[in-house]
Amino acid sequence: MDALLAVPMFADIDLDQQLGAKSSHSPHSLPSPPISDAGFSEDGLQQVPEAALPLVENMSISEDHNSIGSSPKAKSNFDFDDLPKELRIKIFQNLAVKDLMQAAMVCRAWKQLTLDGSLWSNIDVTPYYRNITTEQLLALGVAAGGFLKIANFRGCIQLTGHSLRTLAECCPNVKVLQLKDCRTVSTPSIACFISQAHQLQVLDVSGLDSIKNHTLQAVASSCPLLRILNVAWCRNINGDGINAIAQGCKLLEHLKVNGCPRLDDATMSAIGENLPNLKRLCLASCSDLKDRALLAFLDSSHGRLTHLNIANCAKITDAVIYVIADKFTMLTHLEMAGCSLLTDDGLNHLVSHLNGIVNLDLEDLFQITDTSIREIAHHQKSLRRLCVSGCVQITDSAIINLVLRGECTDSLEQLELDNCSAITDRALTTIATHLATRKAIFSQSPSSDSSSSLFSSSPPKLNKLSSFATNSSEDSFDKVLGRKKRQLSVEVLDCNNITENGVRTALNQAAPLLQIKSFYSWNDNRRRSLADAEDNNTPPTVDLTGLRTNVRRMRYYPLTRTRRRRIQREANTVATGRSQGSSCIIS
Amino acid sequence: MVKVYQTYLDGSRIYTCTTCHSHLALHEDIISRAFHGRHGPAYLFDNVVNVSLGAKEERMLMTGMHSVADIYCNVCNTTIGWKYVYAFEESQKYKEGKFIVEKSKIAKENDWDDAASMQI
Repeated sequence: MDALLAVPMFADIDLDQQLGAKSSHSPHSLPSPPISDAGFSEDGLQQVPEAALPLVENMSISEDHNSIGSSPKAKSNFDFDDLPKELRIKIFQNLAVKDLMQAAMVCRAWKQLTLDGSLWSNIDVTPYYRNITTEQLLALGVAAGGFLKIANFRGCIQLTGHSLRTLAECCPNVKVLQLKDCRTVSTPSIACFISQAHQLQVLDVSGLDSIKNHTLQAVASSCPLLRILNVAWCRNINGDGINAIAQGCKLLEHLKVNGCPRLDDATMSAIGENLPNLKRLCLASCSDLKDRALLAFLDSSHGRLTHLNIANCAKITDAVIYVIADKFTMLTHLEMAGCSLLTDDGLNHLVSHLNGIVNLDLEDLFQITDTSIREIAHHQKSLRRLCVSGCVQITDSAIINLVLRGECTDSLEQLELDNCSAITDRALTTIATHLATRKAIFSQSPSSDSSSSLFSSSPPKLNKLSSFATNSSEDSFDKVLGRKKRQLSVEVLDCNNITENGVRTALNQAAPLLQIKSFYSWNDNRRRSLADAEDNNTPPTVDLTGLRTNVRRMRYYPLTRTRRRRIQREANTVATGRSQGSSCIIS
Repeated sequence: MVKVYQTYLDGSRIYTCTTCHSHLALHEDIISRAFHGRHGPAYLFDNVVNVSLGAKEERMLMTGMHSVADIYCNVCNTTIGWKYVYAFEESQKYKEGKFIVEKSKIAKENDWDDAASMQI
């Protein structure tokens, strides 16, 4: 920040001629003393727009200060507008988008400054996609020009094909393009943009019906550097388009093709063969994906996959699971929800061979029994989330074994047992007792730090684990986990054998280390929120469709006291059976 | 078809419409999974976004007489379930204001650190 300290030397030079009149305003508007700060804080800059506006009107006062300002003693307050343009832009780079928009309203020079391309290398409209107009969006894009690298237009239905074509001409260096839900853009416009975006690395066009197979072919031919592609739920593509992508974008790492119909053997083997760096593959809801196709992919793949999602591919059987277990040794996230043909055999083989699974989703695999859970408990050391909702054959003993004695007992954070009718209160209370004992041990242990003691379940183990924790480079412990307090959250919605008593006992025993999500906890929250709503006289989130006519009537003629009383009386009669007060209707 | 702005949900697990991938609800908003809709299993959600309500009608369901309004996805206009507007029986009062969404019409979406991976 020596450059700022050297500013008084520049103060005599008028760098921007049109700003000469404004330099007189600055001694008022700058906070004092600016040089003592390390640089311009955001607050300092915020004060300038608000202070400068009234000063524009009082030109006479400023002339006096001009004379004061020119004396060397008073020039210790330096002038923002006398800084070189590059420095001003660098200062503006620290502003958030909202502040930049406010700064653009100050004066023409500042507006010109805020529209400088280097400030807009990242256009992320997520906080304001509803408010920005098409022209403003286009102006931003054009201003960014060759600097634009990240173009996140998620949800901008106001983005037109014409805007995208203009951007295509101005912005050749785009690396990230997010066009999710830009439904007004036509297929040729997207193709036009893509055909010149040779630097594109991330493309997200999920949910767009305007993406067709030939668009994907354009992507394959024009974007060789593509790493992340998301074409989930594009209804008008099929396996041929994905085949083209596989042939063209060899550096692809993440591929999401949820809901894509007709993924056949040829496509899948092309994906496996041509994409050596593929790390995340999402084939969820590709309901006609058969074993043969997936096996073709598995046979030709290079085995570096870490995330695989085959949820709702109902035709997948155990045969595939055996090959996954052998091939993908680095797999950490596996989602198989809804693949109801899978059985214990495949799953046992899977969990015994793959040791690094962090997230395992087995929702609705109703053929899974306790055997698989025991195998998971036996082998998986770093499991953080396990979902076995809908696996109705799972019983208490397996779950207790998993939480208390399994290998993953230290890393498990979320356990979902919705709809498992064999789970009873016994599981909850045993888990709660176990966690409470741990808490007791934690509070008793004298010399170990908080991270080590939480990982011990019995005193003999404590010493061994505390030595691990002191050696912080130990690979078996997740460093993030070591820093924060470990919590287990259990979800038991729709378990018929879980009673309210059981949930409350467990919570009383082990909260806050244990969180239980059940119908009863939701009910408590609901009652609490309703009580709050009554207290504050705010209307709770109940739809007032039946009462909408009253509100409309009130809008069109003024409410006298008698009319208001009558409406209240009407509303009272309609709202019998509801628990809220009548005042919510008027407000 | 009128195009409306969509609301986007932020969470680790989001349920989306199977036809158009618009965000519908968070996993945290599930109250129960053991419901039955017209075409099969359905979930009871606390809060659903990007839907519009149809006309209110009285319907006799398995649990009794209710006043329900069908909900349609904003983008693709498919009926994805209904909303309980009023329940005539005391024991069903907890459902008022909640949404039933058919399981066949929604898909579970995992975030897998998408935001982080989207950066260069």
